[in-house]
Amino acid sequence: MFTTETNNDILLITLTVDVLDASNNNDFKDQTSEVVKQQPKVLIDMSALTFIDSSGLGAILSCLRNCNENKGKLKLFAISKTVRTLFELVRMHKVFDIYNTKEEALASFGAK
Amino acid sequence: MRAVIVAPGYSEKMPLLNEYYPISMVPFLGKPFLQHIIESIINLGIQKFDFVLTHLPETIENFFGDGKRWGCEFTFHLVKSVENAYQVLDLVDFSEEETILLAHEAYLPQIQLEDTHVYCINSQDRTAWCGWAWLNAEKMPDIAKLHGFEKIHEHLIDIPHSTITKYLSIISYADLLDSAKKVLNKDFESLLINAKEIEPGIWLSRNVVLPSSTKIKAPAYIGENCRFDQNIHVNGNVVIEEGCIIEEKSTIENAVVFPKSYIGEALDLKNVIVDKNRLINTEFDAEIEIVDDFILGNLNNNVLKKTLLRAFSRALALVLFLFCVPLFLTTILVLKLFRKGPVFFRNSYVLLPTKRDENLWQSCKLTSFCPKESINTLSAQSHFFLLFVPSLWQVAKGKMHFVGVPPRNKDEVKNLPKDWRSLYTSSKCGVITEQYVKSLANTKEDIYASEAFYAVSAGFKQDLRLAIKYLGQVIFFRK
Repeated sequence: MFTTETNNDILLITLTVDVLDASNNNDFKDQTSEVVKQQPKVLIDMSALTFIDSSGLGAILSCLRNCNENKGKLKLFAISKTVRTLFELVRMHKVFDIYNTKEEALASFGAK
Repeated sequence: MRAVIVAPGYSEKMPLLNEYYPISMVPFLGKPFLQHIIESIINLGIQKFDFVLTHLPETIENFFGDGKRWGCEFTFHLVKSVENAYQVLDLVDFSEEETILLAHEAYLPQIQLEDTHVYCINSQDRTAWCGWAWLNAEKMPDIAKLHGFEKIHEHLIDIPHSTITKYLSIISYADLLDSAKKVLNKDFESLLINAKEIEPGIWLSRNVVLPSSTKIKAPAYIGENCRFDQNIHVNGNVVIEEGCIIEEKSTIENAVVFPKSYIGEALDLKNVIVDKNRLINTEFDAEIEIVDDFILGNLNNNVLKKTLLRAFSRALALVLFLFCVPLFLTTILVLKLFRKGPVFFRNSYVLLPTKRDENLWQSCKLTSFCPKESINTLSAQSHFFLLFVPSLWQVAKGKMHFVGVPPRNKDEVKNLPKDWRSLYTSSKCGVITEQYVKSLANTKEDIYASEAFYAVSAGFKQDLRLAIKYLGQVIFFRK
């Protein structure tokens, strides 16, 4: 579903699935709830994702909640055009910090 | 050279229009205002643009695309709020650039190519920065750390300044009317009007139906595909954007009419902005939404398709209800005999879609056999007997739909966060909901995700998909 790596003190989650929907949203919720506890600064690389539905949106929101409860920050980058349009339509861009590239996202954490 | 256009999209002075448009997308003489800004910057020789967006960014991104249409390169940056708008300047790599043109969406000053320069305007008897400046790329990280126009302006104080008199502004309704007037009176010549000037000060676009009884006084601009009925008076300083219909004996003076607006019979519109059924009087600074379509209306809706779908849905609900009457009566009997507690639950809900103004919300009562707090925990069969069957009567009356967002009363809708409420009120109430069919958790995140997703993706196909899935759950099982 995703791979993780730590760069300085930033946890980089790279999604490896192209769809996040009712079929895998619970797996995403369970697996991310564990990893986001380890690092307060989390980045999710969304470039592989081409489709997301309401359950997928709920899963990413719940990941953000877990991160906030851990006093951390969750940011997203490299969102594909279709997913980005949906994120904008449902106003997710007002909830998440969204960046175009990995460099911009890292820079926002002060790690240029 | 590169331009950064800060376009967060909000204007506190235009709340009603701002609900539907990011302010830079407000129509202005045949184009969104932002397009005029972009084209004037292109004329200065800039081809690389960065946009900083917050409110309704999809409308801007979808309209302008990647910029190839203008032979340019557009990059869009999203920020959570207006306060964060300038922070992006620290993240973008400006290393290849020497000079950056920093621009703001609400203003269009007439400027020239400079090395470094800050532009101010005289507004309400004081000089203020209009958000436009030529700056060294090195300045960008410093500006990114500052919040607010005035702080940034203070930081730029050592850069040469000039106060410009030739500019357009759409920061308020009055400014929008005033700017339209400036262009029509040729006080701002650099703006390209895509229409033919048939007489001095009268611009007419293609395919306009204009009877001989129409009286037009200059200056006026009439967009393409407009239809005028008999005896209409256009009394100067009027902009009528594309696709409008004006009914007979109406008089329009010092006004802007947005695209696809319908203006009813014998109306006298003066010092106003009309956007479909929204009327803004700049003289009294009043904005209202008109409920009656025969006064002011929206020509953008696919009325016939919607009416047919609605009629089909109501007829189907009536047939189903009649078919289910024995089941309905049996359910009442069984509940009377075996349930401890009330059989009927009556809940008030707001009819959707509805207007932004809370005073225009209409409520209705829904009778069911279950408390609404327990709906999402019901098995599919219980949901069918306790909620779906009794709700059919409401669907048949046209007060509800088969599929939609869950019904909420006025207080519940009022208490929703602003963006959630905006999406909710633009949707429709239904018995079958995305949250129920997809068995989403009862957390705030899942409820928001399901309602927002439904609100933006609803359509015949989506409704059919959810209805079939629901039917499958009723007949077979639900996870």
